[in-house]
Amino acid sequence: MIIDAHVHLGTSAYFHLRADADFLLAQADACGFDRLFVTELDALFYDMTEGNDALAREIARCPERLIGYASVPTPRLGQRALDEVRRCREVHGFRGVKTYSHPEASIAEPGSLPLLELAAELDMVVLAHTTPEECDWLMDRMPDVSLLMAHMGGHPYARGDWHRAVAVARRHPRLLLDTATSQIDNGMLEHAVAEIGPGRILFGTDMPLLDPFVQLAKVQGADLGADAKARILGGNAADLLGLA
Amino acid sequence: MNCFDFNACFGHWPYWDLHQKRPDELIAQMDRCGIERAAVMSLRGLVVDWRRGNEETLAAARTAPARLVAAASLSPFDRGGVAELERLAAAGFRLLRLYPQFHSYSLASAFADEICDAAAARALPVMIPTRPMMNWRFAALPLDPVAALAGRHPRTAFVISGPNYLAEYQSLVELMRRSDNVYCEISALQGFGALARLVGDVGAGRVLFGTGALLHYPACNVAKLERAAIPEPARRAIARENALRLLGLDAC
Repeated sequence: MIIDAHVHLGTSAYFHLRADADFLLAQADACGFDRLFVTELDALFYDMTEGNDALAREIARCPERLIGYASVPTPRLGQRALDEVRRCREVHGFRGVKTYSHPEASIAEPGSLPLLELAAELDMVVLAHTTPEECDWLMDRMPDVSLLMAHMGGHPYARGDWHRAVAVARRHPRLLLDTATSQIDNGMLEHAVAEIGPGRILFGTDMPLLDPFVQLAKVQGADLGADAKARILGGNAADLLGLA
Repeated sequence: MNCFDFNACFGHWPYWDLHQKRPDELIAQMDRCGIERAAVMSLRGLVVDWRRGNEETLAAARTAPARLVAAASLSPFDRGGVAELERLAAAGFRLLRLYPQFHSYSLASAFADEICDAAAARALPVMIPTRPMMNWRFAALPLDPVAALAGRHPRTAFVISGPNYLAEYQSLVELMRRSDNVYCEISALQGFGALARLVGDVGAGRVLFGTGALLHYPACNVAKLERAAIPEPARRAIARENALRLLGLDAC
């Protein structure tokens, strides 16, 4: 089973993309992906309620293949964010929370902790676009949350530093790493597996921003055993979500 | 697929320990991925000493002439001028790579102009990686000075590598549309459907396959090329035909 744990649905003028469920599932079929764990862009960057509801409608068209993240632009939305996540879990059945950290609005602050606490209570994984340092700060205070570090350090704000991401993951046994990134650095996955094992690395593509074939080849072409690749490509996400 | 990798290297990398470093290990990776030949250079030439790096590159290419094509680097440091370029061309180098960020000079310098003129006279393409690999720790060289250089040297063939998506991609396309002497190598283009979009925007005739190995996983760019939604003639041109033509090499 291949599960893509980092997928976007919706529209983004910045990234020049527009994708609905039909488009994403066509890509998934071409790549051989069984399930997609999806966040909605409107929810993530503008109106979380409207966007999360739009995602729920898309998921309803293909519930056996699409899984929802409740997107929250920033934990600084406070109680509104908490209410929205609980609503998405209870009404829509979403299994994760997606949020974003910016240099201008870092997630590494006390106000973020209630959101993580709620995610842990509701058994939701938190996909966070953050730096390794921010994850370190959060996990020191919330060690029981399943926090998935988007891009494993491979984005501009985190300076592409996957070594730092892996080092932080070594300190925190529930911190997870997501493979989706423009970076295809030779050795990055081998290093991560050597340091933390294959059990906390989740395959992601970031489609439709990034090329899913390239992201898949990064795992399939890495110098790892078949069991490790199977864990990364889907086994870990399946366990995390309780999927058969 | 029968591919020519326009952007390969070997050696040590100061940022992490590469699992494969030697030219024979690069060739083993090429074999795994179905890559027939590659233009290579030693990372020593990028990071510390272009002169010793070129020596290592030439030795590697001479050891495996059917697989490796020598790419040189030069900088103004240590007398890296036109005379040295001519010596390198005579020794068998087929490609020049310039790294102004790593070698501390400007593309607006007299050095850059003299080298580009000399490269044109020797039919040597000049490759300018705007970043050494697609890793966000490396700030991308803006394309404006590259465009200005290409405009001043219309007889020189320039190969741009390093642009990724969004504004970088748009700048690349604008440059290629107005400059017939500008090619691009695809190893850093990671956007969704980027290769098909590029072929739609500028055609396939000046697009070159490259992997960025051994810094990148080579399989990623093989997948990018194999799965791109482009016509088969375009795929073949990008895979190897354009590179062989540009480098003046015969097909094996």
